[in-house]
Amino acid sequence: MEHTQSKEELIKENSALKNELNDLKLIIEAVTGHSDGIESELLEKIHAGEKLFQVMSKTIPVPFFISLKDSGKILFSNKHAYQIFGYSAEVFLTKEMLDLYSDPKEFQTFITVLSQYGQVDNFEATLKKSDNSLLIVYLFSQPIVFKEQACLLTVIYDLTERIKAEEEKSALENQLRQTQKMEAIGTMAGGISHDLNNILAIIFGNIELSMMILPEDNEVQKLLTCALSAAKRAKEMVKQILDFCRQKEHERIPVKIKQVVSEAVGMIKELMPSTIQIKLEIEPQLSTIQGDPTQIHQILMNLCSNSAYAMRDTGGVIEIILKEVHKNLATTRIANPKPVSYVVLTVKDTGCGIEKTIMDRIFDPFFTTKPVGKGTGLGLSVVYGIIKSFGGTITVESELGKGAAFHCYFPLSSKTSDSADPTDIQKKVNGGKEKILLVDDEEDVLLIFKSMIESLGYEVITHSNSLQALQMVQKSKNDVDLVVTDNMMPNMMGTTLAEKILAIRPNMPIILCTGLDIQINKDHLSSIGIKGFINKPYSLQQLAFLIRKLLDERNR
Amino acid sequence: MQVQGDKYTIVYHSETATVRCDGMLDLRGKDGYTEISELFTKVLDQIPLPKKIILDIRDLEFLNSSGITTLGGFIIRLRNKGGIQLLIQCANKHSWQLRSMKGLQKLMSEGLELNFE
Repeated sequence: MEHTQSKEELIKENSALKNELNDLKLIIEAVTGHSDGIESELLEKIHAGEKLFQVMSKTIPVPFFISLKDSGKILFSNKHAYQIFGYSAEVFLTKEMLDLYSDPKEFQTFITVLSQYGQVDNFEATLKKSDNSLLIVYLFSQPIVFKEQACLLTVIYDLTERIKAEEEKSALENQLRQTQKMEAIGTMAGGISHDLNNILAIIFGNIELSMMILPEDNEVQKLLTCALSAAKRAKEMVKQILDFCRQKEHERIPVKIKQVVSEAVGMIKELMPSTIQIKLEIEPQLSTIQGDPTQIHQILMNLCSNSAYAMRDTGGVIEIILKEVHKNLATTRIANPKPVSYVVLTVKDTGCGIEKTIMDRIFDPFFTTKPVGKGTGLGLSVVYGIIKSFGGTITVESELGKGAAFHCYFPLSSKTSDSADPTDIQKKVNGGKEKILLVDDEEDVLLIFKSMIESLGYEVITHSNSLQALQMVQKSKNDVDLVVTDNMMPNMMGTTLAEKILAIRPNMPIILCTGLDIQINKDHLSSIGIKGFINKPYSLQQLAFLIRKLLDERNR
Repeated sequence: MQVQGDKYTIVYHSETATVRCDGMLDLRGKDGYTEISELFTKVLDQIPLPKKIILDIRDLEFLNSSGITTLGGFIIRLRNKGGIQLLIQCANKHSWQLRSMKGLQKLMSEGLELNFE
């Protein structure tokens, strides 16, 4: 009986165990099926992720690489990354992050930032290319897991183009500032020069008249000669300011610069101390430039004078080189991009050089490093003004203690040179008895000119108002033989007055004079019918010569 | 009744007799699922037991193999109680649910209904 019960219980237990086993099998099946599904989904995701990664690394035009977080060994790089460093893919994958830095300390800073913030953004670094040239970049790094290893994904943002663009922008801004500054100074200096010339005209006139009145052996003559000499120096300084302002009309003619420079260098050699050697190197075939020989002389004189000053204690060599170049000067300082062919005159010395800090100011008028009384600070500004007026440009290279080189670029002339050298020949002064109308709005100037012209024997009628002067000519008709008029006058400009007088008397000889010849165009004056032109301040001799010349021409 | 983790929430709503599982269940081994297993026990120990219990996993994004085992255990205990219907509400957007819930359905050949939406 007991045995039968045990058997039933065993059968029951066996059945329960079978059910349990079945349940377990089903659960295992469900779990296995579930796991297989999840695995295949994960694999699909991994493959999709890998594919996406491959496509992205090939497509994104941004250099990036993956390196081991601990050792920095590079495990992966897209082509933009290894190409930017100038490596092949194979070689780049043998490198470590540290190998890419030009300064190991910078890499340590990168690691410090990474450990502090967990990632790195906008880290400016100077990296090293395969040819050891430098690459300035921003780095962006994030920790990632790559091939089951702790890694860093680093994206490189190349700053080279940006830095270049910023430098170009800065150079253009400097160029613009320089031009604006020079224009402002030019306008101001031009205005001052105009007034100074009027004042100098009075001084010159009075001195010359006094010298004429006094006997030649009078003691005061010496004092007046001294005053005249000082006035001439002042006149020269005003001339230099006007040259800088480009407001002085200089005749632009085709110039064989080779001859002009050779001639000027010959003269400069005579003036230089024996401790300074001058070497001249001229390219045999040089094109003609459009300019003014006198002003080229001045450029050379000013530059050589500065060089000589820079070598005053040590002596040295001044090299003067003249050659033709084809160059785009668009990005250089004080640039004038046209034309692209230039004759370049280089004045190079072995002197003390120019400090970087003053390089921006050396062309400014009145800027000088010389002690008080040793320099006016106009030399380089005049050179600058002349070259700009030729349509050229000037650049400078210098390092402290290693000399300086000034390169003057002159645009080529389309015309050929006839080697003309127009020089006014001073002739013996003759006066006359004719009647001269003198018009100037400045009473003092009027007074002194009247005295000067009267001292030559002429009869002089004066008017400080151009409208009244015109009325007088209209009324008196044939009474006046010649008109001397200022140009810059209120009510009516000298050129307009001349036009109106010539409308009444077409053969009237008219001399136009001014202290600021900014807008005077000699062709224009001739077309109006103005036959004479003179700049203030002028000497009695110059004025007398011109008056007599025009009166004689009329009488022929 | 409720069990909540960083990435999941399990709640039993007695008024509708619904166990709702949301989030991601990737707890480690049997021990990891102890709390959830205890919640299932409480559901099955209710007096009186509801005639129909709903297991809503529509917003359960992921369930690992230990989680499947725990669910399997719940289904077996519910089946052994006898006389209780089980409705599992699934979502087609989670592809694993179709495969895995059909496997678990075999544990309760009668009285277990799967509803996909």
